[in-house]
Amino acid sequence: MLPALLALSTVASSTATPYLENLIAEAAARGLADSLTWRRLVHYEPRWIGDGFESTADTERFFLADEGKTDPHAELRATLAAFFAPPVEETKEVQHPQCRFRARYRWLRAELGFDDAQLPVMPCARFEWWRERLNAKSATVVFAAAYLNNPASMFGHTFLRLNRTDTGQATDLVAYTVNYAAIPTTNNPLFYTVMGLAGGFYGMYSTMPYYMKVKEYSDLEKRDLWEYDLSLSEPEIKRLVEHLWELGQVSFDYFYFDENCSYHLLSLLEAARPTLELTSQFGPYVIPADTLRVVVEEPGLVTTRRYRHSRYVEMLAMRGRLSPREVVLAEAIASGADPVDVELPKDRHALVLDAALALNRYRSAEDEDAPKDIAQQILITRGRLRVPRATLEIEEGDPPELSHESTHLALGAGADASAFVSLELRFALHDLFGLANGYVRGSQIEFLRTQLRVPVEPTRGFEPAIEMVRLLRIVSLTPYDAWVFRPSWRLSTGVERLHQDGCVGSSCLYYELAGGPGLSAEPTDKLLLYAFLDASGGAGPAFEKNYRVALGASVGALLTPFDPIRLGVEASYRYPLLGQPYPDFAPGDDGAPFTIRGVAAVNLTTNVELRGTYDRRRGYEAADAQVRFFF
Amino acid sequence: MKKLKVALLSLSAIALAGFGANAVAAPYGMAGCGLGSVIIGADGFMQVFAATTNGTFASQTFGITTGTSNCVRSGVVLADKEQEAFFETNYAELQSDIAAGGGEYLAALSGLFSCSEDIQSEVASVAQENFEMIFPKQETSPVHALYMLKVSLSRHDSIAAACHL
Repeated sequence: MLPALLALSTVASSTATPYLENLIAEAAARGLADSLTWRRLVHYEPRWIGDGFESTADTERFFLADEGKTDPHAELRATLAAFFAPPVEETKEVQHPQCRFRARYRWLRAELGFDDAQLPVMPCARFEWWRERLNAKSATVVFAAAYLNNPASMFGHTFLRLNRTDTGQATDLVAYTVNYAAIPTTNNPLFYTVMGLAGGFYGMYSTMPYYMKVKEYSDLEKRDLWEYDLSLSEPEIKRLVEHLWELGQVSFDYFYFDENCSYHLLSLLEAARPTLELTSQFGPYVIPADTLRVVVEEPGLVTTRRYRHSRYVEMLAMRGRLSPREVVLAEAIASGADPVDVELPKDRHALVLDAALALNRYRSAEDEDAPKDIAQQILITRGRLRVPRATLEIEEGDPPELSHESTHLALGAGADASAFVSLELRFALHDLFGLANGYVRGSQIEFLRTQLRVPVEPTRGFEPAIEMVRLLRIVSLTPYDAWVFRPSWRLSTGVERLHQDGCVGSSCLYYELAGGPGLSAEPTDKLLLYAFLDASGGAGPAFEKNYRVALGASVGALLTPFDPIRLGVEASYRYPLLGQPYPDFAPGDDGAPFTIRGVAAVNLTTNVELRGTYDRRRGYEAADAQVRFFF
Repeated sequence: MKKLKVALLSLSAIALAGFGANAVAAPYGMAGCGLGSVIIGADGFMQVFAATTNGTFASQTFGITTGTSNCVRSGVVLADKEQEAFFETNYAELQSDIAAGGGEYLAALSGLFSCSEDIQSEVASVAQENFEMIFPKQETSPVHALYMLKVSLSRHDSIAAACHL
């Protein structure tokens, strides 16, 4: 009884009535504190080390018992006691516990059958007002997909939409969304990232109309949105909304890789339907695209999938329905040519103006100094045509849940100076030669790719050698487009091996930071060509002077002749400016100072890939084959 | 183990932060109803319009300072401000839809006017006819444009009967 008394003492205004003691006894007898619903409502998770539970919530006010964060039983007793608090006048800061902990109250009331005479019902005007305004009838998970020119977007983002209709129409722009995001406390990008990863920020739920999220993702970031309607029943939606109210003032330590937007979205769904086991399916990190797969694969949870194209895709589709002459005309009008005096039938004229306006708006969003009065002239002209808007046919892309999984393990075999076998692990996510479905062709983002090679010749000693510990490699190929120009770029950093004669073990490793701008073009939808300038700085025992600074250039091609085959070739030239002479470039030598690399990849299933690589440079030639398993 | 992974991954993500940012920093002019401001109310709910970089961080590169919102409470828009907030936030989209005689945003606004489904196409066509009255100049204020749209719609008996204007 002692813990219960301690818990009660935290609610100063309450006194332990016999009825409260009855309720506590019955709750204990029925094991409510150990029930799944209670765990979901207070966000208890099994501890990483040792027994027992701990809540992921990090706001003291979320707990009514002093030890509520770690003691579900004490928290339940204290919650029951708090419901007996005398009436309060509701203000922005003050609410009665029956209102503030709305989901807990309604669940416990249903489970224990509260007697209203002994536990008076408090009015919750503010909650009721808010609930009516939200007006949630059904729920939809929304996924912001990857987009060109920002490979990091391939990780995706998820949020929840509370629809005002039972079905969740695509036009439900005025419905509210529920988002979970970190509240940054610094402007410094370095601190920003480190603190984000280490849990230095706290995260909170927020609500805002869907049209704002559409503006943010579809318009500004050019991301397609995918909507997945959920089968949550009316009582489940009701609990979700009540629980969301409880969470409105709660913060959680924010971890970029595990307790992020996706994790908390799943925990909200678990509170709505406690039998769902979503968050427990993840290890130490959660990638939004993976959570989407979990939601989609949960039997019966998703009823409908919908695609909402981005403003950018819409503009390209508007251009796509014009003739070449009309495309030129639309671009001229977008840049200020007369929109009125055009020798075209009215309906074609309207299509040209629609595309011109889209282009003008796109460019003004990119460039603040773009003239603003052109749009008005186009709009007035368009209005006077009196032609209704023609339906725009846009083909759906690949749904993101059908993309390959995030992490891969690869087994390989190959030969350079001797035969070797290799083992590779990459945490995330996708590279240029991977299966592009659900990702963006020409975009690559790799996190933590580590490869070990073991020579299979006894003379080499079977000693495993690190081939690479690549922390990050990003490639962004944005094909040239007359309407949309964006440079391509790439960046790589990590430990690499310098292959040269007589160098074994860790003495030929170096740490490198490399990258540069580039251009790319897409002559057909099967071929992507690119060229890069490469600057690199490296340090390590592999170099004579322990460092190297080099400049160079690369050209390459990526060919997808037919699904699921991808072929690639790249030639690079690198000139060492400072430090170690590059082994493939010796001044006075006649040989070609090039590195040539060829890659062929084919998928057996979405998550099993075969890949062959060939490398050739001065004094070094290697070929290897891998089988990659994504999980 | 968890901490180790975080530490390792943080090294590689540092470089990422700078690149992700350029994609979200696009300027955005219209912030309706002061919804552009970031306020954490005493009751907790963020009233926020902020981009999320890489899908996770509410980003202050995007913060718009239009003063304290007077039409939001507990994270939701007040009923009598809903049309106004929608119109201000989606000003450019509504301009396009009205000029082109239809579209998703105009349909959603008709929804906020409580128009019945079958009157939508008439709403769109009347709005198009009155484009120059609704948006007489480039900088027409959203409040004025909304008012003129309602005026032009209410002149048509069939629309006035099918909507709450």
